[in-house]
Amino acid sequence: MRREAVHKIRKGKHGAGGTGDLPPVGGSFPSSHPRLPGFLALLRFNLRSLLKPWSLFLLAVSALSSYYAVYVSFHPYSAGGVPSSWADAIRGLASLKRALGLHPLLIMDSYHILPWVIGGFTAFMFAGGTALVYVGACNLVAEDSGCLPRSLLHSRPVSRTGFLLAGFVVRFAAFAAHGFVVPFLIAYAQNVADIGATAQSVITNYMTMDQWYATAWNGLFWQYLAIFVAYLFALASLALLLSAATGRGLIGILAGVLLSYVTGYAAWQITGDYVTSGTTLGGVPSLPAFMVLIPAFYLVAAIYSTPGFAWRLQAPLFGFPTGMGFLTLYGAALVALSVLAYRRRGGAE
Amino acid sequence: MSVDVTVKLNNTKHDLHGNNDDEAALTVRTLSLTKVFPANKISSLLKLNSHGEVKVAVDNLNMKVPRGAVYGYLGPNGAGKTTTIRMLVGLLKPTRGTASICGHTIHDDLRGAQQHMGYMPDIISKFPPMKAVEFLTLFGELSGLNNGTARRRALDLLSWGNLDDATTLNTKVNKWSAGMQRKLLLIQAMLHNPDVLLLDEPTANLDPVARRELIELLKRVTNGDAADAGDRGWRTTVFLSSHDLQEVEEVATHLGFLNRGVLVAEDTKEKMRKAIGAATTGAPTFRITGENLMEVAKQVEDKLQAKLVNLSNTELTVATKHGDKLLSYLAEVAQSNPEVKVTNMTQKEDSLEEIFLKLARLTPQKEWR
Repeated sequence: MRREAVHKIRKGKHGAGGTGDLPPVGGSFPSSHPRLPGFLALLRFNLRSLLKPWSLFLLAVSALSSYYAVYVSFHPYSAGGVPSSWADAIRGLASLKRALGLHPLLIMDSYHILPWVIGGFTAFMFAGGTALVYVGACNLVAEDSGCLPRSLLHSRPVSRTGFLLAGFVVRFAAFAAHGFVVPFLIAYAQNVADIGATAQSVITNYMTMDQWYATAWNGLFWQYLAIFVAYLFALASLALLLSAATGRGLIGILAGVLLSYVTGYAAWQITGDYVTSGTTLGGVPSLPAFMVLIPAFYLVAAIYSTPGFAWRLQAPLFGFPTGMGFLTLYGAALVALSVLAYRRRGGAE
Repeated sequence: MSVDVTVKLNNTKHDLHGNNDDEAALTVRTLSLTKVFPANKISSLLKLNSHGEVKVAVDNLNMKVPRGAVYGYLGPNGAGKTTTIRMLVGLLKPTRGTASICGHTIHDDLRGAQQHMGYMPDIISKFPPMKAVEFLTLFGELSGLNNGTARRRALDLLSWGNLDDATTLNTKVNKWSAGMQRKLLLIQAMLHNPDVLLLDEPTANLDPVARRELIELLKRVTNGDAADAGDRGWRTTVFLSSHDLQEVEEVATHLGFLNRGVLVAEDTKEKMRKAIGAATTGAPTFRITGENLMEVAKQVEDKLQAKLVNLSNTELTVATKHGDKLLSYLAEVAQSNPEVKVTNMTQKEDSLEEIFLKLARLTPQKEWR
């Protein structure tokens, strides 16, 4: 008889029958549970968890580092210190690449390798360093306050998707703000501050104000647009990452990470050529790194640090000490590189 | 021998079930609830098939928890208690079968079921660095309360649990002692005034003082001290998993014994004691005190087909199906033999510990398949 009841219930699951012989008992709750207050509470919690002294400090450091990295990337001092020749070189590389169907890295000659190495490395430091700084910061956040006890959380009538979404939205917004908006604003503010001052501004050392705005609106705009397109491509892999992190196991997670890189690279293939051929922006060598690494790193970092994802990813990959170790090393390297680059650039001048 | 006893025990269980068929009065009900784990954890993580080895953590569980009961869910370590609770609260998906909480089945209306339950997990590895009021308000909101109500309720319950002094309230909960953290977990389970509280080993790993404090708090919960009935009109049902027999002895009204994933017995505490005693000895057990009882032991054994369980001059324990005749027979013997004195006779009820040990011993082996 009990078997029949279970069978009935199982049938009910697929649309036929009902809940078998389990009658309702009633209760003190309304039938429809309001979800919005819970979601907002989670958003508030996630925001508050980011606003801790440690994480704020780390995010501030990363923002500053990002700024210097952007600054260095966009104002190359190599190859004779002439931005246009660098852009020409890249254009040449891009067309050669198209002609031969080869990866640009495989056809670099001695003339081109320096800007590639410096620009690429700087961009890598920007992307990787800041992402790792974020990861370090989020390790702190996630381990100390970003993670709610799973057993308490998921035993409540809270949507699991809502929980993940709340964490992800806040973190991704924070990363995007610190990775793009903040450096851009710092640069802009610094530029504004330089108006009327001597020509010692870090930016106007190389460009006039008109040039700067032209660069910003022609070069930066398109490049940023391309980056955000890359984001969209990278986000396409989010679905896989989500499923990976919510129950598909380690293989799924690795596949998701791999896919985010692949989609990032594909985004560069699609949008990068337009940028490289359509602008004369110095620092374009860093574009591949921007296109591939930043979205991928940020995406992974955001997912990685989102509570719920973090439980699965954090412990085996980055424990607190490891995260802090990476953070310190990359932070220090990033600052050192920036300072060095700044001095050399000044020297070249 | 053990097989025979087990059969009797299972029969007893069916009889006990038969007494309580009013489904509408049930708060928690499981139907063939089963959880099977793959044997190999790495294979499980990678979602790879192992060699077909599985571990049956909970096997075909049919459990009935009446409304308003304090249900002590007993079993040795690894019996499947935590797995059962984690399935009930939605943290684990059952392999087969289902369960309902206040009429909401967990496989198709988990969120509805969760609205009616409060869950206190057995262990929390890391508490977030939040103050108690923040912590409770957040979980209150996640349970559907608005911010103001959640905060007010949090403060009321913190006061109820004696956690409302300024120092405690200003210290983040991750810095609290284990005993205080357990109290906090109990309070968070009660925040939204649920119909059923699922408490997973609430006093495990606590020092004696903290344990006693928590038991006293649990007694107040089960007495309806804090869990006001409100619109419900009945007391909060408490489902308490434990292997701490003292704790269950003090608060439970109903018992369920789980061993190796199998629910081997379930009923009210009193009935269970008698039934288990009878099931293991084949008949109810009686304890007789007096003087020179060794003189009568043989006669009782022969005349009433009794089984001697324990014998001394001052105490005689026998198991017999003819308990109704035992007292009059002893009176006859005492009259004919003035040296024999019977001062008291009671039907013996096993202590929970005895029941626990008997059931654990009697359940057939069923581990790896």
